[in-house]
Amino acid sequence: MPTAGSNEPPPWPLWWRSALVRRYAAAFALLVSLPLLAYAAWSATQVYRQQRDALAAVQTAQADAAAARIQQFLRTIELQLAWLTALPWTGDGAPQRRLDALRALRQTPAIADIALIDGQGRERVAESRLELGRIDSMADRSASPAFSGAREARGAYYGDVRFRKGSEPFMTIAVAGPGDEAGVAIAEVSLKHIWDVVSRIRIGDEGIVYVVDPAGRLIAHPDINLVLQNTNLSRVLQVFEAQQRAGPGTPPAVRMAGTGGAPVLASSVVLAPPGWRVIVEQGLNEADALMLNESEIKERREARYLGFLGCCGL
Amino acid sequence: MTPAYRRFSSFPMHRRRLLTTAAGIALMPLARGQRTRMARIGWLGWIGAEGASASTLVLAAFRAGLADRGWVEGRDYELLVRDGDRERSAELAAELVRADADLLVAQGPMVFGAKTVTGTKPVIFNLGGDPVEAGLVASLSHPGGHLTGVTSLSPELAGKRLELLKLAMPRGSAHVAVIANAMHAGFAIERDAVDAAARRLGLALAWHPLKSVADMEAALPRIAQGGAGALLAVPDNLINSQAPALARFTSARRLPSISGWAAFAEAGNLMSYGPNVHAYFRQMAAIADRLLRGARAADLAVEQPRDIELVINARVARALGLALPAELQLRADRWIE
Repeated sequence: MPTAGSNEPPPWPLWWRSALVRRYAAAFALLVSLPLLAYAAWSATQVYRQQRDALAAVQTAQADAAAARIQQFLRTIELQLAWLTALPWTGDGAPQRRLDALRALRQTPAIADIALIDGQGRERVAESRLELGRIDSMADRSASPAFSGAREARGAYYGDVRFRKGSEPFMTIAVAGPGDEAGVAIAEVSLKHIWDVVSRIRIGDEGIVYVVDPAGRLIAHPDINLVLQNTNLSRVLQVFEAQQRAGPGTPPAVRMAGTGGAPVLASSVVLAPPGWRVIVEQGLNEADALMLNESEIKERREARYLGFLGCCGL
Repeated sequence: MTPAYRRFSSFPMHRRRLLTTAAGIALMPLARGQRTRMARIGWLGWIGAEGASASTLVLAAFRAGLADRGWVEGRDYELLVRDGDRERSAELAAELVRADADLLVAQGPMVFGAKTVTGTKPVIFNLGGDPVEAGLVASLSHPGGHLTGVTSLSPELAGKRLELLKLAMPRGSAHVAVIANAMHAGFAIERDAVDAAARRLGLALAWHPLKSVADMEAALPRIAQGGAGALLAVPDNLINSQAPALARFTSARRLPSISGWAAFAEAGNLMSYGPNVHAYFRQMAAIADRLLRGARAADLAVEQPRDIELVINARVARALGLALPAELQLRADRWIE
């Protein structure tokens, strides 16, 4: 606040009192500092964008790694089933095959039921953790999508995800053996076991990875409750699909509301055969902190430089 | 303009505000203390018959589950345990509500009494049967009310146990004695499931419904006389509590036997097939953890056991002189030596 009684301006040097010099100085300062400011702003955006792209690349790599582990989970099941169909069926093969099926159940906790179908589409062995087993029931299962799907694919067939009793996610995986008259092994797989995979993946401090099926339903998440509630994440799926349509290359991380409610930065990859989307999400604060660590240093240096130039200009 | 006066005149206002603030600060620890007081968990244990508490085993698993999530008993929470039968469940639940329990954990049929008296207090149940059919929740994925919990798929497993038992039975024998607690809420459903399985497996069953330990003591000689080739014990607290007595009986009569919890095989019976008790009650503890942290029961899906395990007591198998077939051996998740 100005003190009372000191109304007289400070005595400026003589040369400064010339209006021309003052205008000249103002124009010079403007000419120098405006482009500098503009440059600084542009460079800050550039740095931010670079950091965001780098983060997206890191997140995508993490999603890729997570997808590889989930793929491994599915591959293990496929391999078990492939063993069961490696040999052609014989008339009295069922008892031995039954032991093989039991071994597969024992080795792969995610498999809840196994059915072995012969080349003619007849059920020869059915073993389950809950239901009674059947041997040589000869029930016709040639019309089932799993049987024909696996035969057509000449390899693995993945059914749709469905929720048993409206809660636990299950999926049919079927594998056909070699040859035209090959048998098919059909397994009902409890996807709850993917929890073991996704809950162990650490993304930074609080980042998570989760899986959404092509219909937009959440099938694996570290918070198992969200899966059991059959959470619909079509909106998330749409964002990523739109991004994918926009063009190739690593798209930038998407800012969205996370599965926990707070804003996040998220990236995703598609897991090929079942068509699931594996999504990595990281809280915005954490993601920003990561970016700032890098860009802060550059920005501070530029600010100092700018300040120095500004002083010189004046 | 007399700023000095104005300041002075507003002083009482300041003083009042200051006093309230000071009082607020002084009382804050109290208010905080109230919010962060020890959580109180009411445990509604189910005693199917006189003195047959099987809470100890499951309580230990439940406590371990809470410990996994950082809850220390005596520091973060206290457990109020009330054991009783279904008739007393409402009365005991009311008692726990009066004791200001934050949530109730109701074993088996105790949930039916708890449901009527707890108002909006969350109740965690563990139920053999289907909680939707029992009218406890709207659906497994969205319970909708103040109840949620775990369900152990008992009816489905009941038939499977009979199948496994058949594999252990000596050839030529097709007669199985079944003991079950007739007071069990799901008794009729499990009986139907076991009967249906028996028809498919070609086994003849002799049912021995029990209501008490005394009934069981009376039933054992009848089972012995009936010439059964094996014993199926439908799991519940009454049967679980009598596992050692049943072990003495089955080894004396050289009977293969099966029930639902591993403790049955550990007590000296042949087999058990059912959820892993530790994993199962840890699932319950995980639900309790979330409720204590502010989640609503209506939003927590009812969980099913993830791992079903077959436990075989190898010592007993040898003592009974059984040659267990490969079908059974391949299935075993755990052997007791």
